[in-house]
Amino acid sequence: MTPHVEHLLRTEAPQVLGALVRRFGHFALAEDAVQEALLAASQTWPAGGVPDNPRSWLIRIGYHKMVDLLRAEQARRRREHHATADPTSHAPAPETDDSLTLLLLCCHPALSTTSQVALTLRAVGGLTTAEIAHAHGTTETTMGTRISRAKQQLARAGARFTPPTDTDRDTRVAAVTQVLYLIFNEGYTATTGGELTRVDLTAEAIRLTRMLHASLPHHPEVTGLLALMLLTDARRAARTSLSERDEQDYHLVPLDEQDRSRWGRQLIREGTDLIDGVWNRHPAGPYQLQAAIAAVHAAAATPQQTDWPQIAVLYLWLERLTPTAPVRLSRVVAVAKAYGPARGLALLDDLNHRHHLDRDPLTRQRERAVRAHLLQLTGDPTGAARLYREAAGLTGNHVERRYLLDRAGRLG
Amino acid sequence: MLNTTTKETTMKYLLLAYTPAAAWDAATADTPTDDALAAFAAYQKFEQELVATGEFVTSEGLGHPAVSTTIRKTPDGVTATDGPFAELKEVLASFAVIDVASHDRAVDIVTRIVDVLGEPIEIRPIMGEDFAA
Repeated sequence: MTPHVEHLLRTEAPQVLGALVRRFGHFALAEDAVQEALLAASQTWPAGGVPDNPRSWLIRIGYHKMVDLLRAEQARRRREHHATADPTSHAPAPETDDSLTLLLLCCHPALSTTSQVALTLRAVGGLTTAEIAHAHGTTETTMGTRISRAKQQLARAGARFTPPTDTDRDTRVAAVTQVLYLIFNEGYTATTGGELTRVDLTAEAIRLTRMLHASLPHHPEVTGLLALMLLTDARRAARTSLSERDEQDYHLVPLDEQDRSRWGRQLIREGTDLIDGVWNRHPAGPYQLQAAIAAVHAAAATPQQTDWPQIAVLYLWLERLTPTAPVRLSRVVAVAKAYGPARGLALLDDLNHRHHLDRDPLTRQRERAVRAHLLQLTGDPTGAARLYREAAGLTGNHVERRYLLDRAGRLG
Repeated sequence: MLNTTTKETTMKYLLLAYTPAAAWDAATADTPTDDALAAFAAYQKFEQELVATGEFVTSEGLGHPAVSTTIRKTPDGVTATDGPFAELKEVLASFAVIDVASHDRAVDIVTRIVDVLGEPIEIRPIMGEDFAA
C-alpha cells in the first residue's frame, strides 16, 4: 500500500466509523465493519485507483459490511435489550465532530487504561489488531480479545455515541489526553529497544493529538500536550545513538550530551509557538508546564546556555499540580544546575525527609545516581562512588549499569 | 388547518415502495445496471415535474431492514429489538409523500412511477383534519 493511500485511510477511518455509528448505533459491529471496509480499500485502491470521494466509498462499503454482520447476528438470535431512550436528550448537532466523539467514547471511564489505548488505536487510529499487537509486543489473539472485551464493556456501560455535555467534557477530555500521552510514551520508550517497529506509536499519538487539537483548538491542555509531544519528538534523532561495538545496540544519549544540531528545528518552532499561544492566558496545567520546560531546553543552543532558574520554577509549579516523586527529583536536578550542587543536595535531603524519594519505586534508583553526581561535584568522591554502585545495582538496563559502574570506577 | 386560498381540496398520500427481501442486496449493489440507472433518471425527471406542480412533498430511500430497531412495551419494560417489526418477504425500500387533488391523481402518478421503476408501490391515504374525531 502506498503511503498516500495508507494516510488517506487512517485519516478517514474515524470519520467513516462516526458516520455509521451516528446513524445506526451498534458501535462494536460498526467498528468491525469499518475495519473490513479499510481492508477492502487497501486491497483495491492501489491497483484500481482511489475513488473520487473516498469517504463515501468507505461509508458505503462499511454500511454493506454492517448489514451483513447484523443479519448474521439477527439470524443467530433475536436480541432484546432495554430501550435506553432518554426523552430529554437532544439529537447531536449536525456539525458535531465525529472524531472527537469517538475519542471520548474509546476513552470511556468504564474501560481500563490498556483497553482505552487499544480501542483508540483501532477505532480512531484505524490500525489493525495485528499492528496494535505488534506495537505492544503481544499476540494478535490477545489484542483481539482485549478489543472485543472493551467493546462489550462499552455496550454494558450503556456508552452512547453523543458529544459530551459541558459538565463532563473536561474530565472526559482529560481521560483522552492521558491515553494519547500514554501512547506517545509507549512509542518513545520503544524506540530505545533497538527494534524499529512498522507502526510508530509516537507518530500515531502526534497524529491523533493533532486531530484532537483541531477539534478543540482553544483547549489549553490539549494545546500543551501537542506542544509537549512536538518538542519531545524534535529530539528524536539526537536522543539515541548506535553502540560502537554492536550496531543493533541503541543507547540513550542524555539531554546535555545530545548533538543539538540534529534537533528538529521545525518541530521546535511549531511546539514553541503552540505553547506561547496559550501561555499566561489560562492557569497552566501539567501538559503546558512540561511543554514549557521542553521549550526552555529547546531554546538553548548549548547545554550551558540553558535557563535553569526558569526550569526550576516551572518544576516547582508542576510539583504543586502533580506532586510525584519523579517531578520532585527533576526539580532537584534543575535547582542544582541553577544554583549549585550544594543547594541541590540540601533540597534533596529536605524532599527525602518529607517524601522519601530514596524509597519510592519510581525514583529510588535515579535518586542515588543524582545524589552521587552532586556528591562528586561537592568533593565527596567516596560517597559518590558508593552511590553510583548502589544505583548500578538497581537498574535493569545493562547499558546504564555499565555507565554507572564506569563512573564509580573512575572515582576509585 | 385548511388553507382556503390554495390547495383547498388537496390531500396527502404516503407511497410505500416495496422490494423482495431476497433482492435487496442486489438492488443496493454498488454497480447498478445501465437499465436501472436509466430508470432512475426517468423517475427523477418525473419527480421534478411533481415538484413543479406542487404535488411532491418528500421522498426518501431507506436502510436495509437489518439496521432497523423495533421498540416495544413488554411486561419487563420498554425493550428495543434489533431488526424490523416483522420478517416479510417484501420489505419497504423507500417512501414518498405526495399532495394531490384526488385519489385518481395519486393512482395516475404512481402508475407512471411503477411503470418506470418496476416494483410495487402501495398508496396509503394520510388522514386529514376532516377525518379527525
